[in-house]
Amino acid sequence: MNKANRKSQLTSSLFVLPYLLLFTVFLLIPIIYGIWMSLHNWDLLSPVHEFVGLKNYLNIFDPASYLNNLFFTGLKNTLLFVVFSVPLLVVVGLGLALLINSLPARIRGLFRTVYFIPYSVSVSVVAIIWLWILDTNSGLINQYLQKFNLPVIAWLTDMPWAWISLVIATLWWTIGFNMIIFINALNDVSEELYEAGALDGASRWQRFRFITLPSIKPIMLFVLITSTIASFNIYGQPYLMTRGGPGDSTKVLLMNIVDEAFKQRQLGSAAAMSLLMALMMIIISVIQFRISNRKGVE
Amino acid sequence: MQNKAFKTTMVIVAIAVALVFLIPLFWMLATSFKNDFEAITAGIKWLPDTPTLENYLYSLGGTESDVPVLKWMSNSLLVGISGTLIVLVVDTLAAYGLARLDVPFKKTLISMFIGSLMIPWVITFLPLYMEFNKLGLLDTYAVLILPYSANAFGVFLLYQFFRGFPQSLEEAAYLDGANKWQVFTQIVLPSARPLIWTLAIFTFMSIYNDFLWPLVTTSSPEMRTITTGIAIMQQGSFVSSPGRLMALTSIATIPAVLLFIIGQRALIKGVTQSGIK
Amino acid sequence: MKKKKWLGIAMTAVLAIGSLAACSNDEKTTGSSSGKGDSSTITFWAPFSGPDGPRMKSIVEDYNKSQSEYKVDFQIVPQSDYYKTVDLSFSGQKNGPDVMIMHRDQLPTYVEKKLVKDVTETAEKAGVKEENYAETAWEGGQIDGKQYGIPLDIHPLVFYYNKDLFKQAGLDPEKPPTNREEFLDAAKKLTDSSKNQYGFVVPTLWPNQFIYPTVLFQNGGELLKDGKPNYNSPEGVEALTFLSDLVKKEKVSPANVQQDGEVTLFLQGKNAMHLNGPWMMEQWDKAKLNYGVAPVPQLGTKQQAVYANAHNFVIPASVKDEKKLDATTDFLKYVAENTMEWAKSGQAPASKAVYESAEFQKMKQQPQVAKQFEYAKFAPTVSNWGQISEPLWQEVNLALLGKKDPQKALDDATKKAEQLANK
Repeated sequence: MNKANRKSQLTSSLFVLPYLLLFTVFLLIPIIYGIWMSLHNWDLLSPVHEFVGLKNYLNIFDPASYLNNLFFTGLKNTLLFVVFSVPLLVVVGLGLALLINSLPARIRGLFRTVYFIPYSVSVSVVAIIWLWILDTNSGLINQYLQKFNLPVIAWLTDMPWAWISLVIATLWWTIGFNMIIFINALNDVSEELYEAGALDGASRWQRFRFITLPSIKPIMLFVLITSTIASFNIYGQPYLMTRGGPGDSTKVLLMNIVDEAFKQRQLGSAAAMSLLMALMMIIISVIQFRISNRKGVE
Repeated sequence: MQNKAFKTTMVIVAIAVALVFLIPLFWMLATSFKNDFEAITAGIKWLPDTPTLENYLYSLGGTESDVPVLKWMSNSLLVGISGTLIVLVVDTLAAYGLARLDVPFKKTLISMFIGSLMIPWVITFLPLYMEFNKLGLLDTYAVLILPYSANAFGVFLLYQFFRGFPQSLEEAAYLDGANKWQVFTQIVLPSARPLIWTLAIFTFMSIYNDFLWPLVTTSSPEMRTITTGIAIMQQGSFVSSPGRLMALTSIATIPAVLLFIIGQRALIKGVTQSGIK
Repeated sequence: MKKKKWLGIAMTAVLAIGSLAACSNDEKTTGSSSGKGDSSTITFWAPFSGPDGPRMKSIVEDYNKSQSEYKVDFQIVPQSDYYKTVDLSFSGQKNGPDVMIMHRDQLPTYVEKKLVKDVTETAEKAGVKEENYAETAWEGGQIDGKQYGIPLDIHPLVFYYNKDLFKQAGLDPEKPPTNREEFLDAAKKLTDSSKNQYGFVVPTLWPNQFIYPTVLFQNGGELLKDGKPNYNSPEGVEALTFLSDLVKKEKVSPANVQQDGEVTLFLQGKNAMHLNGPWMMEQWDKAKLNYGVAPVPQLGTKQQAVYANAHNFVIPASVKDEKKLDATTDFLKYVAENTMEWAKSGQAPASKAVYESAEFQKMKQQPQVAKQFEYAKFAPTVSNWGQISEPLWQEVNLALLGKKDPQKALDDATKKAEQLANK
C-alpha cells in the first residue's frame, strides 16, 4: 500500500516537474541572483565583483550620489505617467464598453473588433505611426493646425505635450483590452436588476450609477491594478518617441535602469534599482486592493 | 422615441471613435506607398499622387543586407510559436497535477506559484540577463524563448479550470484501467481545449510583441525579432525615410492583425473564463 | 563557484527541454563563433551597420582575395548595440574579435581597464608609421603617450547648405559662410517664417554631441579641466547662449525642434544650413538635394576648431596567439594602403596616401572633411566620457528648448557630472 502510494506520488510529481524546473531556473534563481547582484559593486568590465553590502541601496537614498537623482527622477516620471494614464485607461475603457453595448446587436462585433485591432500591433509600430502623425514639421495633426492657421504644437519636445502624446499613443494601443474586459463584465450584470430599476423609473444615469457600477466593481479593481502595473512598466513609448526628452522629463525609471546597467555597466546598482521598483509596484497594488476592498464593505 | 434617438447618436459616436482607431493605421498604409520625397514634402495627402511599391520592394528585396525583414518575421514567429508550445505543455501538466493528483508539497507549490504572479517582471530582468550571459546563450533563440515559460499565469488559469472539472469522468476512466497519463491526454485535455486556445493566443501575443527583453538580449541583425528590428531601423538608417519605415511597419502589422481577427473570439472568450471575475 | 556549477546543471536540463522547440536552430547559433580554432583566420568587428558597411566589406573581401595566407572574417554589430556586445565579449562570455573598430571617445575607458593592447609593436611590424597619417588622427590613437589604436578615419562635424535656397536669397552658392558674422547674416537672409523656411534649424538632441563642443572649442574652452567637468566655463556658457539665441533672439530657427526634425526640414528644403556628420552624405544624394558642403564656419569667438570622433583599429588585450597577431598586422598594413573605398561612403580616411591623392581630392565632400583634420579636436581623454557627458546633453537640450537659462543649465550639468565622476 505504502509502496504503491509512493509510486503514485512519484508519477504525479512528474506532471509538475517540468514547470517547477523552469520556474526555478527562470524565476526563483534570478530573484535570488538579483538580490546577490544588488549587494555587489558589479562592474561588467571588471572580472572581480566586490561585495559592498547595502551600499548600492544607501547610494540611492543619498542625495549626493548620482544614483539618487537617477532613481527618483525616473520614479517621479514613471509615477506621473501612471497618474496620467491609469484613470483614462479605466474610464475610457469603460466608456467604450458602454458605447459598444448601447449599439444595435448586429454591429457590436464589428466595432468591438475595430477598437481592439491596435492591441495586436507591437510597441515599435505604435511609436513609429504616432511619431509620424505627431511630427512637429510634417506630422498630420500639425499640418491640419497650420491649414486652419492655428499655432503648431511641439508634441514631442514641449511639456506637457510630450506626456499627452505618450498617453494618447498608449491609450490607442491598449485601451481595447480593457474595453473587452468591461464588455464581459457588463454582460454579466443580471438583467433582472435592470428590469427592477426600470420599473422603479430609474433614469439611464441612475441605473448606471446604482446598478452597473456596483456590479462591476471587482472587475474595475482588476483593470485598475493591471493597468497600473502595465503603466509602471512603460519603456518602449518614451524610448522610441521622446527618447526621454525634453531634457529628462519623460525619462522613466525603467529607461534609467537599463542605462545604468548597459551604458554605465553598473549591474549592481541597476539591480538594486530594479528591486526597489518592484517593491514599489507590489506596495501600490496592495494599497489599491486594500482601499477598494474597504470601500466594498461599506 | 427617445430611445431611437439615443441609439442613432450612439452609432454616430461609435463611427467617430472607430475613425480615431483606424486613421493612424490608414495613414501608415498610405505613407508606405509614397516615395520618400512625397512623404516628406509638406501638405496633407491622404493618398499618394504616384503610388509606388518601391518601399516594399526595398524592404523585402533585401538588396542591402541591413533589412532582413523576412528573417525577423520568421524569428518572431518561431520564437512566439515555440515559446507558446513550451508554455502550453508544461502549464497544462503542472496545473492538472496540482489540481487533481497526489503531488507532494502541493499546498506549498500552489501558494508559491500563485504568489509569483505578484512579482513584477523587472526583478528578474537583469539577473536573467546575466544568467544567460554566463551560459553564453545571449543572442540565441534560447534567450528569446525560455524566460517566458516561468510565468505562472497559465498554471493558475488552468488550475482553476481543472478544479471545477467533474471528477466522475476521470473516475470512470480509472475504473476502466486507464493510467494518469491516459486520463490526462484523452479526457482532461480535450475538455480544456477552448481555454488552452486562449492561453495560446495570450502567450503568443505577449512573446511576439515583447520589446525590452529581445532588445537587450540580441545583438546580431539576423537574431532580431520584428519588433526590435523595426525599432533599430527607426533609430538607424531609416531615419527620415518615412515611406520605407511605414512599409516595414505595414509588413510587420498585417499578419498580426489578421491573426488577431481570427483569434479574437477565443481571446474574448478567454477573458471571460480567465478567472478575472 | 559551486553555485555556478549547479546553475549550469539546472540550465542544461532545462535547455534539453527547450531544445525540443529550438533544436533546428542550434546549429546556426553555435556556428557564429567561427574561425575559433584556426589561427590563420581573424575575426574583425565593426559597428558599420549603415551605408558604410558594404564599403568595409568590400575592403575585407579584396584583402582576402589579395593573398592566401590569412583570412579575415568581418562581422558587423549594429552601432546601437556595439559597445554592449563588446563589453560582453571582454567580460569573457562571448567569443570576441581579434581586431576591432573603436571610437576615439570610447578608447580611454577600455585602456584604463587594460582591455586593449599597446599596438606600437604591431604597427612597427606592419610598417604603419606615424608620418603616413594625419597628425591629429595618429595622436587620437594614443593615450598617455602609448599607441593603442591605428586610425582608419576622422569624422568631424561638417557644414551642409542648400544651394537652391542660397540662390533664392541672393547669396553666392559657391561661397558658404566662414565665420559667425557671415553665418548670422546668411541665416537671417535665408529665413522666411511665412513660408516656414529657416536659415539654420537648431537641433535640440543629437547631433549636439558634435555641435556644442565645436562652438565651445572655437571659443577656446575645454570640456574638462584637470579631469573635472568644466561645462559651466564662460566659453561654454557663451557657446550655448549663441546657439539658443539663434532660436530666441535671431529667430533663424523654429523653437522646440524634435529629434531629427532639422534633418527632415533640410530634406524638405526648408532648412538652409545644417551641421551634421559626413555620414549623412548618402542620404542627401539619395534625396537628390542640391547641396553644398564645407568646413564648419568659425561660430566661436577665438579660433577655428571642430569636434571630431575617429574610428581606430584596436586589438583586444586577450589576443595572445602570435599567428593571429601576424594576420592582423598583415591586414592592417593592407588597409593602410587601400582605404580609397572607405572614402566613398563620405568619410575621409586618415591615411595620407589616400587623402592627399588626386583621386580623393576630386571628390565633392571628402576633401572638405579632410581640410578640417589639422584643427579637429576629440572628446577629452577620460574614462567613461559617455556617462560623464550624459548630463551635459540633457541640459543642452533643455537650454535649446528654452526651458532653462544657459548658465543655469550648464551649472546643473556640471553638478550632475561631478556626482557621476565621484561615484
